[in-house]
Amino acid sequence: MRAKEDRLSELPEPILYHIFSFLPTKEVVISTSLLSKKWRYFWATVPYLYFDINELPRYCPDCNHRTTSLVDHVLHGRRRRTTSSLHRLRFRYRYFRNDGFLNSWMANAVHQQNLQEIDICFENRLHKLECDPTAYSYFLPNTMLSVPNLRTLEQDRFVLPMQAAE
Amino acid sequence: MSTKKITLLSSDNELFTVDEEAANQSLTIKHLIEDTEPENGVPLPQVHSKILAKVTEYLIKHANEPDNDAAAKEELKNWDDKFLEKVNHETLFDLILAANYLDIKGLLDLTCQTVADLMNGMSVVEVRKLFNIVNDFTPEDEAEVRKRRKRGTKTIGPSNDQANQSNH
Repeated sequence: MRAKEDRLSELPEPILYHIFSFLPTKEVVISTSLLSKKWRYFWATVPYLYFDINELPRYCPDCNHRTTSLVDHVLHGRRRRTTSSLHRLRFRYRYFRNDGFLNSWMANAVHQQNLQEIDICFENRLHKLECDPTAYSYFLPNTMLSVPNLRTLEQDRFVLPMQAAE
Repeated sequence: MSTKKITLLSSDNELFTVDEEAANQSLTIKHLIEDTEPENGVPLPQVHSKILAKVTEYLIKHANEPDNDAAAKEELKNWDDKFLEKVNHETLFDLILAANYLDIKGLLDLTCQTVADLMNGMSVVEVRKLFNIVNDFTPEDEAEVRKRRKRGTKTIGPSNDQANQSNH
C-alpha cells in the first residue's frame, strides 16, 4: 500500500506562511520545530508574528531562557535565518503595561528585514484612557521613524513618535 | 443587472457554468476573461473537476456577499463551516492549491484557517500523525533539540509532546 503523502510539507512557502499566520507564534514554534528537518527553523522565517503576552509560557519552548524571551528568541532567530520581510508584528496584552520589554522588542524590531506593520493591543485600556491619556499610552521609540515601509499602525492603541512630538 | 454566464473548463474537460458575478471572485478567471475572451470556456488546466465542483459551489454561494446584514453574514459563516466539515485532508489541500491558483481570497483564507485550526494546540507528534509527516531527525538530533526545549515544554501544559511520547 502506498504511504499517505505529506501534503502540508509540500505546500509552497507563501501558502504555509498564510496558514501559520492564523496561529500565535508560540504555537508555530511548539508545533513545527521538531516535525522534520525541513521544519526545524520554519518558525524563524514566518513573516507574520503574533505574541499574546498573557499566554506565553514562562520559558521559551525552543531555548533555555526565561520567556518573555520567546519574543527575543524569535526576533533574533529571524535576523540570523531569513532575509525575507517581516510583514506584521503583533503584541497583545490583557492590561496596559509599559515595561522595559516592549521597548527592547521595539529596538529589535527596528532591525528586522523590512518591517511593514506593527500592532500593539492593550485590552481593558480604553476606560482608563479617558482619565489619564498620557499615563496609559505607550509611546513608540523615536527609532521607529527610521523604518522605511512601516504602515497601518493602530493609532488608537499606542502613540506614534510624530504625534508625541506635536 | 448582469446575468452573463461564464463557462469554466476543468483539467479533465468537464464544463461548469456560473454567473459572471460569481466567477469574478476569482481574479485569475476575471483576468483570463478580460485578456483572452475565451469562446469555449475558460480553461483551468490545473483544477480537476472534483475540486472545481467545490470551488464553483463556493463562488455561487459567495456572489453578492451581504454588507450590513448581520443575520445574512451569520448564515454565510455557518454555510462556510458546513462547506468544509466533511472534506477530507486530500481535498482540503487540493482546495488550498486551487484557491491560490485561482486567486480567490475568501476561499484561501477559509481553507488555510481550517488547517491552522486543526493544528492549534497540537503537539509535534500529533501534527506529524495528522499530516503524515515523516520524522527524519536522527535520534541524536531529536534528543538534542528536545533537551533544549525540555524546560519550555514542562511549563506549557498537558498538550506537549513529552506527554505524548509515552504513548509510543
